[in-house]
Amino acid sequence: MDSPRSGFRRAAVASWALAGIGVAGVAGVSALTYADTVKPAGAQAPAAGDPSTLESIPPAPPVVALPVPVAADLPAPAVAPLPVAAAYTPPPAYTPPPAYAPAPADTPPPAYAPAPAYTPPPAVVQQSVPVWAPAAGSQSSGGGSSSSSTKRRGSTGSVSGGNKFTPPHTTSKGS
Amino acid sequence: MSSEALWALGRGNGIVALGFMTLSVALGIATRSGRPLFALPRFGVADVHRFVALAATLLVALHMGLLFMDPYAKLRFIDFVVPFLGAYRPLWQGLGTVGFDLLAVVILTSLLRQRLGLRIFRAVHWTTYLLWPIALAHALGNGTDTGRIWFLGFAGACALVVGVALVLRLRSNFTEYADA
Repeated sequence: MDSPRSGFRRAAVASWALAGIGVAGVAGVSALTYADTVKPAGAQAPAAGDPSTLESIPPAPPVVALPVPVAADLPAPAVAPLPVAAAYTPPPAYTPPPAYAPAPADTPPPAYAPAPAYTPPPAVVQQSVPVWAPAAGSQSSGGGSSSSSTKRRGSTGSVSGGNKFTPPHTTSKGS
Repeated sequence: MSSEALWALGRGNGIVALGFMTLSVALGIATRSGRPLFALPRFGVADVHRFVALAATLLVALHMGLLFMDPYAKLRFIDFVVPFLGAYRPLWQGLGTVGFDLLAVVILTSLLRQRLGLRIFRAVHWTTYLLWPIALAHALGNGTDTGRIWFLGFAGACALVVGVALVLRLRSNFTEYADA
């Protein structure tokens, strides 16, 4: 009974029993600590003796007892007669939806028509006034007009054949 | 595994490790008395003491490893060896590091008992009387379950077991042949 073999056996049993208790203890304590970790804050009940939490709770409103009607006083509910089965009215005939009308073909926008090329206006050519040339040998009597009076003179005194008019010069600056 | 599960499992391993350390201290004192304990013979008490101490070391290793993987604890390798460097409650976490260092020395000297000799082994083994209150202080100060009634009851039970064992240890007739 008290042999060394039985002593070793008891020691082994005690050791492995403690090991099992340890494993179970780790599982249980871990479950407890996990429950404490993931427990929501609102789920914790306030302490019983904490006056701050007790005072902050508003009192419950009084319960108003509603009068319970006696069954005898109640009027009997009017029983509505069951509706007679009406004549069968067939559902409206199925009307197929209108046939699919394809949308009109997309008309492309009109092609881009380039603006007509710029055609400069015709240059105005001012023709000089024809000089009246009297006939040779004919004398006007009493006319007194000489050729010098009919010639236009310029400011410099030179005789000019007409206005030095240059047509308006239009230069395309590009678009 | 989620972060909350790692955190809870690490804490669970640490709490059970404290219980196994408590049991190991009590069984060590019982072994030193030389008396049989319940149905266990003397050598059986020493055998269970050794098994429980190694199980406590394994649980401490699991406790540290799980909390090392947990992103919330933010443990570093240096926190396992050098105390009081942690970011979260450095004093209480540093006590845990001191306890781990002491535990490592005690386990190593116990495994090398035949080589070191009985004198060195016994001198180092006396530090377990310092290791247990350090572990308890680490659990009370660094744990997040200190406000729970179940944890306070567990810690109180551990303290009661060690206190009773110490009282028995300090009695004059502690050893079996003290009167002889």
